[in-house]
Amino acid sequence: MACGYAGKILYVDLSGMRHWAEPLDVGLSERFIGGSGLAAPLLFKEAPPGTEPLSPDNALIFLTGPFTGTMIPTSGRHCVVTRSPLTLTWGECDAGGHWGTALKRAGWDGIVVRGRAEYPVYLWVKDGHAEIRRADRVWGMDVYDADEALRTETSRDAVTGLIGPAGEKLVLLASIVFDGRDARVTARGGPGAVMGSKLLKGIVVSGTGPRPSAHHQKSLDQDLKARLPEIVRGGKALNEYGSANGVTGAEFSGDLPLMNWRKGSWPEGAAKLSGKAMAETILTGKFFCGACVIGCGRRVAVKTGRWAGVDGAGPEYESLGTLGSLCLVDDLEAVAKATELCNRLGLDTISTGSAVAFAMECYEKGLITKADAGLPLEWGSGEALVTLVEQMGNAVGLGAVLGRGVKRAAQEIGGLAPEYALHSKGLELPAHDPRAYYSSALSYATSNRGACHLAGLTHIFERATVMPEIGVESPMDRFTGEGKGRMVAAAQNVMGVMDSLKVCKFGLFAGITVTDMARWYTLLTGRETSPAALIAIGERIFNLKRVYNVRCGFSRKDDTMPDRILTLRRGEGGAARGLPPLGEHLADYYEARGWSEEGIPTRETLERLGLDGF
Amino acid sequence: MLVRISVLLGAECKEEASLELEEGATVGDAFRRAASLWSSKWPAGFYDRDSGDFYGTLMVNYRHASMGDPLADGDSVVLLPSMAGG
Ligand code: SF4
Repeated sequence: MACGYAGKILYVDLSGMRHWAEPLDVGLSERFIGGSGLAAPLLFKEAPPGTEPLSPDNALIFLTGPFTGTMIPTSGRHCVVTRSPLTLTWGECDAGGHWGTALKRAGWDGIVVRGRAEYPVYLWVKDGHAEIRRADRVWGMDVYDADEALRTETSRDAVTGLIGPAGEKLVLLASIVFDGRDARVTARGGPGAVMGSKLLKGIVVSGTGPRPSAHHQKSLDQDLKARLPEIVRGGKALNEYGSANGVTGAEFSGDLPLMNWRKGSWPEGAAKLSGKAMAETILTGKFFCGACVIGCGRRVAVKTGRWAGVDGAGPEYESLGTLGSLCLVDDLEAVAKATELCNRLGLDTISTGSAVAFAMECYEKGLITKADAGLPLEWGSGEALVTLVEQMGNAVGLGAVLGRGVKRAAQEIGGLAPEYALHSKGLELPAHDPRAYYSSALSYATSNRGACHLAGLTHIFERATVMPEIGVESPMDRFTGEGKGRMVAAAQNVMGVMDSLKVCKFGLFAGITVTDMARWYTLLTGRETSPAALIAIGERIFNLKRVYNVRCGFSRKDDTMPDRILTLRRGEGGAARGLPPLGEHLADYYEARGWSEEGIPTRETLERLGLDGF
Repeated sequence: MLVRISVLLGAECKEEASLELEEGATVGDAFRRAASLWSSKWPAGFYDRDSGDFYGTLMVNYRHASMGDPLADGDSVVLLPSMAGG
């Protein structure tokens, strides 16, 4: 087995209450690397397209990448892959923290869970030993409390990955939360509901083994020593103010979503939600994921006032942009409270904030009443925000409807509600407005898990980031379609590689390049590669995920964006005039991908990528 | 030595000038000149006028740079707010 890999995967069948080890398929690891790339052929095998997401047949795949557990910067990451119960597409999430590192140091590349237990259980992994244990005592507990209880029961050094009440109640926006109070979350598309459907409360890991050694250890050490100072410098702003530092800049450029995507400008509100405001008010500390030299994690506490008691991971940019600005809530403490509730109850902050904004618009338009919600759902109301988050996490009242995601909720509410439900393939939009960065429309529309900014992260190339390895030598004009089809496809390929090696996307902001990744991959594993060769693997990975979706019935008709994004101008602010021309971009994109006009990978494309067996 | 300095506040160039700097000038020298010209219009969280701290990203010829890095004739310095993701 190449260096960087543990060489084995833990398989768990909860129906039979048994588990066993299987060797990692070396050939697959060469063709798909690891992480969500390697998870693609595994999902085909373990939960073929068409598998009912909340049935025992669905698989929940936790995988590290070859970089996980090493000292390669920002590599302390892992993914969770499943068929999404929210979107019914390929489901994929990525998280930092220390859980992935613990798993690798315990001697495992990943865990594949299938079946359904007869009673609530958790999985305890201590180095090479695994055990399925009863979880009755912690079933019903929120994530922070269950983290404390299970680490007391097992080992204080253990790291947990847990669902909260939302996952237990099969809320379709449910997440899996890692690292307890320093929450790092696999959130999008409802993986927590899949875990809940298996009656699996969590996976607790203690890994005391050494870090993976490298094929060329001395050269890798020297390389990292030379590169780290520049990466630390590049990540200074993220360290200083966290991802929240992006809030004011995003508002300025028209990128920050406001009032369910209807408003153009909100500088005073953005300033109150900024990283600087957080640092001056509720910030108590910072934290780092495994092997990270940037450290964007925020710890916050609210000690007095209406939202007193908040104490844990603070809101990230995405949470501020959805629980905050999308609902016009400028009370940072209320947003911190809503974020903590999402972490404790196990909810995706992006989809949850979007559902609250949707409900506020339905209330404004008379489709939801005060009696339905239990209180007035006025724009900007922190009280309404927190109340709805609580309802969603516990699947009660109006929250039970909203917790099914805006697409389903709109169908239930009826009338014009579907117009106010912003999603693509059923996944709520993240907090970057495609009217500010045109490529995002295409990137969201074609992302395999539904509207996702991380699958392509293309807006950064329309701003100030360059990537010569994919032909972006200088930043592209954000308001034109010129060259965007090709760029989006190439960027998605790169992001697929990062999700497979396990490198944090914030590493790009700190100056980590594809060339760095290729060099580190060779030095670590001993496998000769190049940036172009890695990107070609990224193309294979992206296409295989697409094939999964095609087999589930998805095609061009689903590569869409909400009408509001394509037809309603923001009107003021940094993106006042723009409307992304998605249709034009889509044709260029399909051509660049080698797909048919219906968005189906052609036979030639699949053969070229070695995917004809799928 | 002529250096081009651009301030990007959200993709578009908001301020741009060619500055004459002394031989041996650093990125920090160029930054301080830009701050003296334009910082009254920069958003919160980008630059702290009291402490002089800059919380964005510095680039020279679209490569990450730091304040102490030397500049050469014709270099292009870019200041931008930090990126955000999720
Ligand atoms: S930059 Fe932030 S999210 Fe990324 S690995 Fe570091 S601490 Fe984690």
